Amino acid sequence: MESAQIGVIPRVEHLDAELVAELRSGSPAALGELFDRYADRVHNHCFRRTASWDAAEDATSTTFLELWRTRDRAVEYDGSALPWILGIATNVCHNSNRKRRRHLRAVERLPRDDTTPDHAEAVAGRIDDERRMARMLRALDELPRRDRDLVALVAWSGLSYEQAAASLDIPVGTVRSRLSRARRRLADSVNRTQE
Amino acid sequence: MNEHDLPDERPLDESTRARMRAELIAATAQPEPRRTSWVAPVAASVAMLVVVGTTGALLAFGGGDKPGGAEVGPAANSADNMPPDEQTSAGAGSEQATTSSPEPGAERGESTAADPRSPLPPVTAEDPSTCAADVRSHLGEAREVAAIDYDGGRASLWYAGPVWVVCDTWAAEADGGSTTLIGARKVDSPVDKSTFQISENHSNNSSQFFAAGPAIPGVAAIVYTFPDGHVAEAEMTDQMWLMTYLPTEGPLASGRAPSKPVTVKVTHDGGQVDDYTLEWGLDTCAQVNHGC
Repeated sequence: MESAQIGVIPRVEHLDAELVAELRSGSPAALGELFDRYADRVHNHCFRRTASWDAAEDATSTTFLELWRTRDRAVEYDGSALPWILGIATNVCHNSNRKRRRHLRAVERLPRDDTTPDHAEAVAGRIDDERRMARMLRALDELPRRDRDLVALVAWSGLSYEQAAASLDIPVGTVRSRLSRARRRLADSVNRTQE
Repeated sequence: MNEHDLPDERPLDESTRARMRAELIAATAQPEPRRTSWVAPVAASVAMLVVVGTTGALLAFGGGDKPGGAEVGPAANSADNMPPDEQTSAGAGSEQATTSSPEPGAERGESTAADPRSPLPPVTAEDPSTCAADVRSHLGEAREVAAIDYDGGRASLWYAGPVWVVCDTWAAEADGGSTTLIGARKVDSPVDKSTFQISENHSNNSSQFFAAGPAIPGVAAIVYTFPDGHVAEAEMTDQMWLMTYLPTEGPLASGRAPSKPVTVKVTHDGGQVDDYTLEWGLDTCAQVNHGC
């Protein structure tokens, strides 16, 4: 008789569609697994919308709490829960941003050549990230909100046109046309902010 | 700088990930009364306090650049799926063991029952921001000189010396967010297109368009025409004017980018009319206190 493996519990990878179905039925475990799978994606998406790693952490927590609160409306698109999750994250970050704009602009104005102690290199890296992102967001802010969302979802967070359309609940043709225009306008805006 | 010139991605460090996961477990273990939009972030904050209380300073200050405080991680390609938890170093693993994060793989259907946490304490609503606080944070000793109440909000005109600002409460009252400030211009600034610029104010569920300023001498009427055909005439008082529009259907309500501009017709006392054209994204902006 073959001996059973001892000490190794294989981790079952569930499909997003399964997790979404379980979440809709009220399974906290499904939420936990979605968190394990997508927390980093949400975290980085939220950073790109807030230009603050701290705010991104808060927004990530809030996003997953919102997933739970709105689990009745959980959907997957083409086998992925990510469009739904990033759609909620987009709204959470947007709301968070309204309260944080002053901080964002203050960060952007920080001098570039801060002298930072060696032991604070990691912190300095985060601050530099925030300064760069704040500059980019200032350019992005010149676009209408929906265009900003599209740039963030497609160009920055890697959703396909179809996924972004599902995420924002708009036709994919609209994504194509608007994204193209939004990218042109963002390029102009970036150039202006550099001048 | 271009749209791709972004900071590298960073993974959540293990201690933060464990804390967040514990928050989620705590939150999902609670019975669910109906919540308003501010409850989720507040619940997150309270849950965080609970977790921080149990994990203590280990997570917050543990080890400088050692795992647990490791804030800098390798960049990841945003288009890739996030790998499962594979970044745990030995140190981080030992710290995680002090948290109440559930065992990976053992959580399906069991985490709620296994979580011994007592119910969360009652939470207090976060107060929405106020004009008094927000205006003064921008203009110091500003004073309110006039206001217009309307359905859903209140717009107030403030002066700090020769500089005026209008503060609108619609977004704050809609879902406990921030007030919106428009203006920060000198009272003797020339009247031009920027005088009539529009702020797009967002709540969680809708967006309102808003423009306002101190009364303009000799101006009898200000009328905005939106791309969806809606005509909004500004309310005028002796001290200030205010235009608001809350679209409930059509492209503006759904956030689609309009293809046509907004036109503004300004009628003077003598009948002279000035027309202005406001381009989306140039003469409009998302909440003017964001820097428009």
